[in-house]
Amino acid sequence: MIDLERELRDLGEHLDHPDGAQIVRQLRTRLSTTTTAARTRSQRPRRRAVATAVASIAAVLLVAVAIPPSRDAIADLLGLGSHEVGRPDRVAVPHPGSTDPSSLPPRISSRSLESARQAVDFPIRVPGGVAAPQVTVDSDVPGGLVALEYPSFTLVEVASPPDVAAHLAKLVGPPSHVRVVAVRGRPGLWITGTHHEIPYLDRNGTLRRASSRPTGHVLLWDEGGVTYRVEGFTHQAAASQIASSIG
Amino acid sequence: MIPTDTELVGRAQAGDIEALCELVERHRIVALRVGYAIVGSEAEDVVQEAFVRAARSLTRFRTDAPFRPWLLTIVANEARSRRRSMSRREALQLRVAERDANNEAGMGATGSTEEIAMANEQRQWLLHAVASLPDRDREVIALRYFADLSEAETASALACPAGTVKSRLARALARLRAALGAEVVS
Repeated sequence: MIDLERELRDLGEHLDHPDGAQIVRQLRTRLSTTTTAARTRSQRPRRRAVATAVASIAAVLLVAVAIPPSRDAIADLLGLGSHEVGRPDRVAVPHPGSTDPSSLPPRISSRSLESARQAVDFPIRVPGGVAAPQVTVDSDVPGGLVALEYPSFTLVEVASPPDVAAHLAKLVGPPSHVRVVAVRGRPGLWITGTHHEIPYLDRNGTLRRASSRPTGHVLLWDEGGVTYRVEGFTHQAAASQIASSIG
Repeated sequence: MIPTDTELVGRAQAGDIEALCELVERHRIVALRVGYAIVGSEAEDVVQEAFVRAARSLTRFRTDAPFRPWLLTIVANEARSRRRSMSRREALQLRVAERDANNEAGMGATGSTEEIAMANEQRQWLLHAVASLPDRDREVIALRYFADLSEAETASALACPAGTVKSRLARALARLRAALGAEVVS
């Protein structure tokens, strides 16, 4: 009577399975080639260690994006608290309205930067080297949302504390592409596409629309409990430059 | 000092690609064994995809848990998914690797050529019987005996109750004994 269990364990060590020597090498290549793409030209040599670590994370995430992107996985991994990057079939599309500021919901108000600072729960940071923006605040979003409108772009800042129930949804419509990039030493998203609508749920759970620039792409990242969006640029480098200049 | 799996997981979660590669390399062979038992020659492809998935979801892995069962869960899922899409008309062709005596770590290095050949033939019989098992029985055999997971870890990897794994194993072993018994006809 053979000891079948012992024979099976022994059998496991003698299977003619594929050698698989390529597996780890190919894994490294898949992660490393996206590392090169994720690096920006502004990285200086002495920050290479940070850049490599960031790019490694970004590279792993880029693999996630290249294969059908898991929205939760991306948001989770990037710690993007207040945004969901979704596909049209997953996010309720609001009735398309105009982006005319006069059609904004009443609780969004135009104000001075000083007044805006009082109205939101986080310190508002501004890019350097640009003239004063036109400021609108949406205090209906928990924690507050502020949009700084400059001549060629808009910078949106919204509180992203972890316990917020209502959150912004960034609708990514086809044809569109989501790419993980390094922004200010951390992973962010460069979202390109032809059409962006930004529906969100206010604190009452009502679906609302925020004002947005109808054209251009979006650079998005999360830092210090605030989610930032730079909207309106065609080229990521320009958006990254604005991101880097934020004080 | 050789880093533990837990230490490598920590570094990989922080973005260290080399730690990630070293980590999966440690478990590559056992992953291939499981993959091979479930899908045969497509095992390399399956393990490759499973490792990418594991890299992607590494931040969700609790570092205090053992790494191998978690990784093999992903490998098993990938393999089962691949198996479902395969043509079932042909039985799985699984073979024993024929290595010379010098490469044998498992058996005594002093075995004669004849003894080695007999041992290989015995293994091939057993493997043929395993390959002929229903998929579900073969899966538990692969995880429990080829990967040496505990019954609890096997149940977790297959997302089924421990009792189900227990009965499936008992049934699989009974089937194998019956198949092998039928071979022993003098």
